[in-house]
Amino acid sequence: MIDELDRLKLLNETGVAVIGCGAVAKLYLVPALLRVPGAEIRALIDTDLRQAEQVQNMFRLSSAKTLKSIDDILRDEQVTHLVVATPPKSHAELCIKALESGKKVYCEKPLALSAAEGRLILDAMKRSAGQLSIGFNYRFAAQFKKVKDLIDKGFAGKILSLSVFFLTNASPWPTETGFQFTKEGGGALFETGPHPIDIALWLLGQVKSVSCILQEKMDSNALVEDSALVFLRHSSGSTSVIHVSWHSANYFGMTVVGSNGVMQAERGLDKIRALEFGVVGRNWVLLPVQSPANTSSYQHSLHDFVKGTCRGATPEEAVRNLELVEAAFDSARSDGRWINL
Amino acid sequence: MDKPVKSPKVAVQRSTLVDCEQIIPRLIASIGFDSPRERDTIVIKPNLGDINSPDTGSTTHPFVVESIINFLRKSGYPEIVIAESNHPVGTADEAFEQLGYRELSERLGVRLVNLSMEKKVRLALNGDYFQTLLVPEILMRATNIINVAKLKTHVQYRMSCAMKNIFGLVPQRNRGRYHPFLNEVLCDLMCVYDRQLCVIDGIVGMEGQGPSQGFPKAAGVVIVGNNAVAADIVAAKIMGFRPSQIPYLKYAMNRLDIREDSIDIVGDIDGCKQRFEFIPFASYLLYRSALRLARTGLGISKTLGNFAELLKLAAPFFLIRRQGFAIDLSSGAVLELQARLYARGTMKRVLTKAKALMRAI
Repeated sequence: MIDELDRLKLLNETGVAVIGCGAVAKLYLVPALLRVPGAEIRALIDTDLRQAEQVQNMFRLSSAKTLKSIDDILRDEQVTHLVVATPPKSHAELCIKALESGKKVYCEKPLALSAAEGRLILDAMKRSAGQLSIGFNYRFAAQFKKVKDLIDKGFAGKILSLSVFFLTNASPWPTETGFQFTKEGGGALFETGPHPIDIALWLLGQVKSVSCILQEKMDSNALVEDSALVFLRHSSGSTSVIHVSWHSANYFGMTVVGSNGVMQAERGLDKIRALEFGVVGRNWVLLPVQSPANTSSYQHSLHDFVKGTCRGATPEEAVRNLELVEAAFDSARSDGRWINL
Repeated sequence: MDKPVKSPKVAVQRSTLVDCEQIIPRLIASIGFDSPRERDTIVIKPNLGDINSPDTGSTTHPFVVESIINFLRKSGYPEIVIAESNHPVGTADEAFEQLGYRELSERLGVRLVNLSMEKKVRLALNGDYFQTLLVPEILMRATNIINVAKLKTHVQYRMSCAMKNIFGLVPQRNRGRYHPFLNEVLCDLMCVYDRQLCVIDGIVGMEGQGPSQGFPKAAGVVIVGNNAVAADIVAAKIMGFRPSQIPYLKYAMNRLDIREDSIDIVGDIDGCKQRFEFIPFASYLLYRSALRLARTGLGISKTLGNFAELLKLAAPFFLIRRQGFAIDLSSGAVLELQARLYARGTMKRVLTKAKALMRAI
């Protein structure tokens, strides 16, 4: 009867290949892709074939091919969408190749190792008129979408400041290559920072200057920073404070302060807190999150990619994000001096 | 309340997705379904209780619903409505859109109804659980409900099939609060929605961590019945469960007086039997204990409610031990390493609280 499953899958119009079968693919991307209606994982690619086979066995993807290189997939017309989940050092090469072959690409954040590399990807996308989505999945988190919606509706008035905390325990992360802990593509600011920076760009718009402090390493043997404080001055006049940390807590939340009110949102909760200024006798109110709060934001982000609705971060914003991270490192090297962009 | 009185009849046959267009009408005819008339309103209730691809076996495949609509259109031209309620994972409208039902409705000229957004009437019931029940108006005027369920496992109740699909007619989004009382709730719903034709899409079912996080099971079977309890009894046997092992089914069999040997079965059950893989028994036991505790503790003690939640969180641990991971709706997958860390952290918190409590005493 297994051919019936295959036949059913043929009804899916979108063939997807996952490139890089490490921790992100296993924990987030593959389980989320399996839930995306109309998508079918047709290939799993990893330079270490055992990793691809492990994902294949884990998720019972018997009809998916396991491959070591993307070359065959670039010629395969049954695979139109590629999900790049490799360490950042290979993003540029893979994305450019895929875009030039006419594939639609979803690339995990950060888009590349540097803004210069990011611009090369952007050029390739423009040349091929292809589709490039970036793994800034938190734009699809129901709680943060609700905050964006309220800001757009003017609930809090003019936004004065945004504080974002992204605290995560990186040490048990089941990485295969360990790239997060190396200078090349690792560190709390480079690896985790793009998420809260993207949220700040999304909610408050363009940034005109950056300041950053990289904090003391908790683990003296680590090669990279494990905590960073980033300050952003936006063109609109508002300010963002971003705290990224790899210590023991797991928390992603934000507070938005506006001229008329305050909002607080936290990943995973089904309500956000809001306070309207100047209303006598009113206290914090809990506002329900409309869209599903308990499903993975990766699922919504990948659904957007497969359907081609492109409601996530644009490639230009992803490059801008890399420029901000680079400027933050420059600032940290000069003791938190403000760097103009 | 009146019990469903129709003598239960169930037809089973092996089927592929391609063949189901011929097989489903044949099975419906074999159990004696009255042809619809022009003025009838037929409500089709697929299982769209999750926004999850139909090829995972979690949601009803639109092609199965299309086969039923084509059959209904051949025998008359009734008003046909596809109905679903909002659920914790999303709204019915999102499910219609993402799972191919919007396209189907436009192509075939049938109406999609979000039951949560419909005008409702409150029905006095005096049932086993509900004293009154909110019923969407469209269901009040439906001549017949076609319950198009899935054949899948359920971590808390072993099986989710025709009876459980009717739970989706309760229009509240947060109906999960009824889960500890599902035996009584489903029985009440069986009595209210007694004009039912059940079609169980087991072409690709779901096994393991169902009803939404399991793996597809190519069972290749279609079950049609004029009674949801009887259809579920047959479905349980096909999946390798004893009907008495399914808590709500056992309750309904006693309450509605439906015996296994009173069902008129058309077709070869043995030829359709497939063993559905299930979660480890220890996990199931924890899920059941959590439900039992919630049933006892709800509204009495917050601590009991919290403990029930804790048991529910701990339940997948045995599954993780068996297969190395478990699927989690809110993130993706949980691997053994993380599960151990969570377990250690939770134990630490429980012990700290217990110590503080002891000191206070």
